[in-house]
Amino acid sequence: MDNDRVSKLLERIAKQDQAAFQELYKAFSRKVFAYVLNQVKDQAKAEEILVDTMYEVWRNPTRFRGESAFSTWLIGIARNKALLVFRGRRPDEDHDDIDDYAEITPDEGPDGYARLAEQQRREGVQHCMGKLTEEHRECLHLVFYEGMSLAEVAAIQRCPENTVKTRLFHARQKIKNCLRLLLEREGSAPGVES
Amino acid sequence: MSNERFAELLPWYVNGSLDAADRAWVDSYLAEHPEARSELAWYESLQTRIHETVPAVPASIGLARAMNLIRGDRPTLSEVISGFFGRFTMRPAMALGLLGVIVLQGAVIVNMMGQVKDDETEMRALRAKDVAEGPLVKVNFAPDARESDIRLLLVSVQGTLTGGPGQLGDYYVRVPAGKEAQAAAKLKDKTIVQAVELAAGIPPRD
Repeated sequence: MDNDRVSKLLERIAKQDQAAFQELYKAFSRKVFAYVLNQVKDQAKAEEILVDTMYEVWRNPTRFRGESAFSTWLIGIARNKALLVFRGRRPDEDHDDIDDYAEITPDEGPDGYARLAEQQRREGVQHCMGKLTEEHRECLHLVFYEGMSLAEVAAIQRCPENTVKTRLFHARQKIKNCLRLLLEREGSAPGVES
Repeated sequence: MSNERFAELLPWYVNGSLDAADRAWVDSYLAEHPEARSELAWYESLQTRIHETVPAVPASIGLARAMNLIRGDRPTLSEVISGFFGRFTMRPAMALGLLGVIVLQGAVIVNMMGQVKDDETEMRALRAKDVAEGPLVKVNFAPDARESDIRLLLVSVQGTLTGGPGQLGDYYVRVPAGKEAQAAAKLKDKTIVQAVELAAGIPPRD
């Protein structure tokens, strides 16, 4: 849904039009839910934050000024709400051993990449994504799920573009090494004789 | 250097957010370096897997809860007020009308205040009644004596407060004739009473 359509719906929402709200909700709910779930890793909490985020739109529809894609703006609201959930959690609860993965010398030869690409599975990626820090996980999600540009990711993460590049670089290294280790344990890692 | 640039641009090439010039640069790099295609394949695979990790949920997820919130939603008082006055900034004629209403209401209120002037008498202290018959007893109460205890005590001696308190805290109580000594003795016994004596009459006001 483009910003023109979104603006028309928001104008109707400002007049308390519930049908317009429902249309907007259905158009963006999956995106917001996917983002929040990636951050909080709890479906019930993710749904709660989604509802909260959309309710914010209902209450303040004129706040969106069309300076970014609506989904980017919406994810910015959801991010603030998700951060409140993070504050109630132990800082390194989920990614206690991921830094170890970054120290492993990656097999970055063409064959290594190709075989890793062939063998990596959804479960493996999910597991390794879950081991990343929140910032790295968020960065990968915004780039590869939301398809956001460098500038958009920087705006969402409220950091310079160079920081996004660095985060992306480290996230790539860590997830690749994590996947390689996972495959090694299964006895089929690239470069490992099975 | 070109390898670094390739590594930097590749994620954005894969997610489709790269501008045309950078996209063309990556395309030419890939044509010149076929071995780099494996890294492209890895990113593409990662992107596919990340999409797969997100559970398929209906677009209406949480919608019923959101609608419940909305239907129960009522603007706060401050929102109502700011919304109300916000309109006047756009419509001067309405603001002028509102000013007129305020002035009119003010005039009505002032007029009503004038009408209730006589009721002020209700706020005045009641004038003490003179009790014509009976002897007087002058009583001094303790500073911490409670008004309710004083009243009870006066009832117990059939006394009526006739004057006081004076500057020295003297109260004049008229008691039934022939019972003044008995009343004085009873009053003396009470801890809230500091002094009691028979009085010839109420002293004139200063």
